[in-house]
Amino acid sequence: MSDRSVLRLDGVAKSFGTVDVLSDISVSIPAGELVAVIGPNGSGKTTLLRAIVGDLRPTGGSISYTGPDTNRPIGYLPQRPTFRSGFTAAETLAFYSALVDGAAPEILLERVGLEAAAGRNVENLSGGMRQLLGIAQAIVGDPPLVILDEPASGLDPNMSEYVFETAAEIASEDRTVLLSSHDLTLVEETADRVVVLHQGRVAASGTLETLSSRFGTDSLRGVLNAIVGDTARVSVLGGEQ
Amino acid sequence: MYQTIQYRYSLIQLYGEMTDRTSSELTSGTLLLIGVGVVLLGGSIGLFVADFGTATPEPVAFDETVAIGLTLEDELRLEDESVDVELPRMQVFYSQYPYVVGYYGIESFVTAHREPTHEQQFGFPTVAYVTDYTSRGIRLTADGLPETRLSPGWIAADEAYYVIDSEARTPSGETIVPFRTAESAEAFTEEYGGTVVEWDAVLQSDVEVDDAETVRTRLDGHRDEADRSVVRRMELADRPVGAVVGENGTTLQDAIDAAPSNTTVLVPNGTHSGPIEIDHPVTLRGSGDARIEGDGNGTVVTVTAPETAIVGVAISGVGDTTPGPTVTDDHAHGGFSGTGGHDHGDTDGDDSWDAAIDDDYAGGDSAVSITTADGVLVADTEIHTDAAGVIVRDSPDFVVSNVTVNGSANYREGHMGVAAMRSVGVVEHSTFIGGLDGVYTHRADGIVVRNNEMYDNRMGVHLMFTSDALLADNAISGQEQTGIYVMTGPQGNGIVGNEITETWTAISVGGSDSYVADNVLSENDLGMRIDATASIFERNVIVDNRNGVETWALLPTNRVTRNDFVGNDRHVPISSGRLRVWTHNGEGNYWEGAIGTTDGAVIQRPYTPTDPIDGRLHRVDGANTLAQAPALDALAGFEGSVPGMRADGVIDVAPLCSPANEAWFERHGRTDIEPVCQSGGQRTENVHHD
Amino acid sequence: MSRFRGFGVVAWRELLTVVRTRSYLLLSAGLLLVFVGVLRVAGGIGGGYVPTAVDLLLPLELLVPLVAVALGYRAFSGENDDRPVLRTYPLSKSALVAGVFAGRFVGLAGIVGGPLVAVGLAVSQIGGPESRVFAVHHGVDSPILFVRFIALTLCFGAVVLAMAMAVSVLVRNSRAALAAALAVLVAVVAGGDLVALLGLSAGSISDDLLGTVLAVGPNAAYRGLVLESVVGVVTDRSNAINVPAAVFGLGGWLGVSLLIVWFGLDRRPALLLQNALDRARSLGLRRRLWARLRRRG
Repeated sequence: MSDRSVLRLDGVAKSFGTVDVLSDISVSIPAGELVAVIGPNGSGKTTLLRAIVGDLRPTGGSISYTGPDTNRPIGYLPQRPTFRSGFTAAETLAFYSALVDGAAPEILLERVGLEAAAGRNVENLSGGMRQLLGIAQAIVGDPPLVILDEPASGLDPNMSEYVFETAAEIASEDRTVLLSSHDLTLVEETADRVVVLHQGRVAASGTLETLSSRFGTDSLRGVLNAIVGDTARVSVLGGEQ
Repeated sequence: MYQTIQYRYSLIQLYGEMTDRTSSELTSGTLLLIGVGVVLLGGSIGLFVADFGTATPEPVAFDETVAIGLTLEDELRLEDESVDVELPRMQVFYSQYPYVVGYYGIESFVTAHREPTHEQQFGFPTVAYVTDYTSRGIRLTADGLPETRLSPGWIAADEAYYVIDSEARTPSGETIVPFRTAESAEAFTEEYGGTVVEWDAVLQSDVEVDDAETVRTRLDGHRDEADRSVVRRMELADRPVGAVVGENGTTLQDAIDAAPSNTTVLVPNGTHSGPIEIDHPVTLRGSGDARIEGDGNGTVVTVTAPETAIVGVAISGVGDTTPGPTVTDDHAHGGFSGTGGHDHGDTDGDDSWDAAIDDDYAGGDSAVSITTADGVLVADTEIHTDAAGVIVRDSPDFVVSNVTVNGSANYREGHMGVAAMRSVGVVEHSTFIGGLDGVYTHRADGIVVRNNEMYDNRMGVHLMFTSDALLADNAISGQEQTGIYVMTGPQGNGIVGNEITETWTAISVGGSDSYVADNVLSENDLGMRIDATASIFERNVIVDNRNGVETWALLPTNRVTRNDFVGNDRHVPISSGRLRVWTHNGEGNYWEGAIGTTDGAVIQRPYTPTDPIDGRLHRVDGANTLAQAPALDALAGFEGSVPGMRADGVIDVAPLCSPANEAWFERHGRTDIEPVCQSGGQRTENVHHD
Repeated sequence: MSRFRGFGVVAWRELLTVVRTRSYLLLSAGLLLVFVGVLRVAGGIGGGYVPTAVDLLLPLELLVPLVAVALGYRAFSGENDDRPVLRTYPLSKSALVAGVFAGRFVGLAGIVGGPLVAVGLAVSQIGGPESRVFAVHHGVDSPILFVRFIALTLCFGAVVLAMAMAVSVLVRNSRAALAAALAVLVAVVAGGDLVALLGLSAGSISDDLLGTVLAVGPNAAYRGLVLESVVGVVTDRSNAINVPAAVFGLGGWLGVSLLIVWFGLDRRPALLLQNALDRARSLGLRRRLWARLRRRG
């Protein structure tokens, strides 16, 4: 664990009615790393990320941003990003960029490899391109912490790989990426650190090596299996929507 | 259950810190916002507070105003008698009326603007000008009419000084005289009396101008007066016998000549030769089937003596000379109608402006000719004539009672049944068949024409330059042109209780301040043509005509209420001028076809008979459904609120839910009347269930 | 980054959204068509600005809420809803609410105001009554009165727009949002007047209070203000409505609606309700309630 953290969660809890979706989440996200949140469906990944960006109000605990002071501390790609029809990709980014005096849309698009689609209307973008546009939006204003919720969901393997590569590029000395994913292989390839959620609690967290040695397995799948159990059982704690 | 929420919303904190950092920017942004807000707010308040500076219009030539307050007769007469007479006039620009309204006599404006509907129809006066007599050399004629050496100009009404209660007159009565300066007004009072007041006092002043309500209230008095006049005249029939025709071989003329004044000449059964002349006051009384037969040339009975009476004789053998085509041919469609624009070639070098009219309308042969003889009676007489029946010239207080005039079958070859020229009297219980006009009047102010029957003439009753007449309870049918025609802009006529049927136009009424009520107009091509202004039209039954009522008068000053419109192809086909509101004191008319919810007395939905949809409601299936479309309903809502600026049309904002003359419809077994007072505005026959 | 700047950026995006939604432009064309039809039938256009305004008053009372609801009811739902993302930008909630409202209002002003301005120009070209015989004037009439009419119409539109936006915030599910928006429409178009009518006939509203009570309904307030400040000017008849009450009423609806938007943005009332029910269930309230009912039965 690095001594420089960008986000600290302390006993965060979230319940919808009587259903506790998150309980006692305490974790510190170190700066400059790519951190992946994994866990089975319903384990609370999206809820956690939404709580961090403030889209949900936790029912307990505290979330503190501890990174550098800036216009936009956290960038966010929601699980299902929405874009307004009738606007081009460049216009969409220009809007967000204008809110923070951020970079020109062309530069942002270039960083996610979408410069060719600058003039295309968002409703005409493919799923992967929309996802890339969402990532470009998440890095508008150079936020120290970029949160990507399932950036590769619904994409073909090539595209998923490209999205993860892009995410890895974003993570650097002074920028942290916190993403959630089901694609353990890609996570293994790119993540510096993994937080495993199970039934709304942090079941394990640490670098890949730490986890491997702790659970005595050489793959992330092994780690997850060891935590969740062998069965493909889905634990339903209560959906957010 | 609540957990203790101990949550620090990091982003909010962060914004808090940011606020410090960017406070200067924020301040300038806020200032800018406030600035924009102030400008916007100021602009919009200005929009609602600012006087939007409608330029005050300058006075226009009086000829270009829509003028009221003077009859055409007075206008022509004044032009004729004195070029220097300049009556006090006023011109008013209204907020919601596109024409300038001209008033003869300041007092006629003062009374007009007190009418409750005045403001609804015209809006409020934005500017008004009155005649300015200062330094114009004003003096009064013997009749009190103001004359000037120089033609007077105009001055804004609220800047002028007014002399009230002076000796000044217009043909209608006392008048208010305006001046630019208080000094000239004072100077006027020194000579002609009165007091000087300002505009506010004029508006409050106690002026009395006869209007349509005056006509309504004096109806009974007018009838009583006619009754008395008839009783008085009928006494002539009971004079002692002074001569008997045929005794000692005398002819009719011999007997007349021989009879002393104020006695009766008895005319026995049989035919007596005419023509005859009566030059001293005697009564000619027939017994049995007494006839006077002319020689087919000229007039049969010529009366030049007052208090002459012709009772119970039949008259025939009249010459066939009539004034000819100048009268018969269609002047009725021309310039005499309405209040404005006469184009009659009046004086032609004669000493009176109406001399030519006398020749045109009272010339030719007649069965009885009465000239300059007051108080003549013609009663119980049957006349056969190809020219006129009775022509009365300058002979007031005449009575024609129970006389039958059988005129020419072709009206173009015939003449008037009774022509009353400058002669006020009573024509009653008589029958006029064929010929030109049943009763024709010229300058016969106050004449009474009542309880007559008229068939197959050109017109039933034809008023020319005649004000204050009473036309009551006549039964008129089959007129080629018009049942009752009031021409040449007179005032104060009462037309009540007449039944007119199968006529081209049942009633055509011009002039002003008239009262038209309780008439039944059925099966005519046109029930009524309204050219009159400031008049009351009420309780008329207008049924089964092709067209119900046309309204042409430019000024929307009539009160048209409680009339029943049933079974007309079109209730109101044409309307010219501005939109009129035919509702008064929350009461309109009964319109077959009007729909809407009702409170038991009136229907809440306005009815616009001139509207293409409303006008079809009573005869076209489906119009009902269309009329209730919200879009159209919405339109009907406020149309009546600024009628003055709207083009032609008539709107009734409170249609009656049952006929005003329900008894008439019951009496006539009409089944097409279904009052909607209880049925929520739906007529059963109009509800479609398909 | 000033708050004002964020407001401007948001407002501009909303305006562009309106401009780029073709059905909104069709709405404007449709309005113009309706205006032309109405004026042809009613004929006020030949009489000048005020009769024209009178003719358009009731149609607008129906159509302006329609446009406002169409513009407002999805302001915060569907693809227009990127609040999870906007939360990560330095954009205050006030700037967001004000921006969305302002942008959409400018759109509404274009959609409704455009055709009205066209009508106003047509009136100026047609020029009123004519006569060859008589002198003719325009009475008291002025384009300013028509501008007033347009301004009042847009104020009315702003109020209903805010109401629709409030609904959009309260109800996120798009089908429910449509139903709720239609409810707003009905309430605005008929509700206030019906309540006033009921109150009047039940005797709970005294006659001298009617002018004030009417002002509570946005459409009655609008109608009253037009009758008062446009039509009343030329007829010299006023007292159509209690003016301060009407202004206050419209302002109140606007303010309350925008406040609802402001407060509703972070909360999910439907969800809150659900949670409350869940909590009640967990507390056994229902069971106790049932038990009590059973004892009584």
